[in-house]
Amino acid sequence: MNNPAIKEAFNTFISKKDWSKYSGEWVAICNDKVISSHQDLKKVIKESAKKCKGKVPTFTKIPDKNVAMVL
Amino acid sequence: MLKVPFELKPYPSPHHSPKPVMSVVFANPSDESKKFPSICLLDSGADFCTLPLSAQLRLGLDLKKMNVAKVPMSCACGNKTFFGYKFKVNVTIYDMEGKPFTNLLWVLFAKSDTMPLIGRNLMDIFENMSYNNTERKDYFLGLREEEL
Repeated sequence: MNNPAIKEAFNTFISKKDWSKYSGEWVAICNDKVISSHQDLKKVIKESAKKCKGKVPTFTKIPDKNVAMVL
Repeated sequence: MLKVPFELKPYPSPHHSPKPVMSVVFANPSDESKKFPSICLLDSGADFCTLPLSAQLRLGLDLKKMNVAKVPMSCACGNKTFFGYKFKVNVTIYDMEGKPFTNLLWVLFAKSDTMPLIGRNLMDIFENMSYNNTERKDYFLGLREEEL
C-alpha cells in the first residue's frame, strides 16, 4: 500500500490472534501497537492524537465477545 | 483489472466467526489532511458506508453546525429508526500493489456506536466479488462498466 501506516495497522490487526481484551471497545493502532482503547471513540481519538505524533492512527471497533453480531 | 483485497478475520477471539474486513481511509474532500483511517467490516446489506458520528472529529467536520440534513436510519435486526447525517467524503481503498483508489461517496454518520461499515455504495462500483472461505483472502474484481 502507498499508505504505509494503514498497511502496518491492518497487518497488526490481522496478525494479532486474540482481540478479546478489547471486547466492545474502540482501538487506535499506531506503530504496530494499540495506543489507545475505550468504549468512547471520542476519547480514543483525543488520546491517540497525543500518542501518535507525526502519524495518523488507524481506528477500529472490536465487537463484544459475548454478543452475537447481526448487521 | 483492478483487484482490491480484503480478508476474513475471526475476531474478537480466534473462536469467533470470520468477518470480512478491509482497510479504508475516509478523508475530508475539502482538506485531505483530515483523515479517519479505519479497519471496516464489509456489510453487503448496508445501503451506504457508515461511520459513528464521532469520526467527524478526525475529519474536521461538524455536521450539525454545517446544517447537513438529518436522515433516518435503521439496522437489519432492529425495529428502531434513529437519525444520522449523510455527507460525501473521499473513500480510499488499496489494490493488490497498494495503489490507492479513491471515490467521493455518501457516508452515513450514525448517532450510534456503529462499527465502521463498508456498504453497497462502495461494493457496487465493482463488477465481481470473490469470497474464499478456505484461503480467507478475498477480492473485489474489476470496475463495472458505468464506473470506467
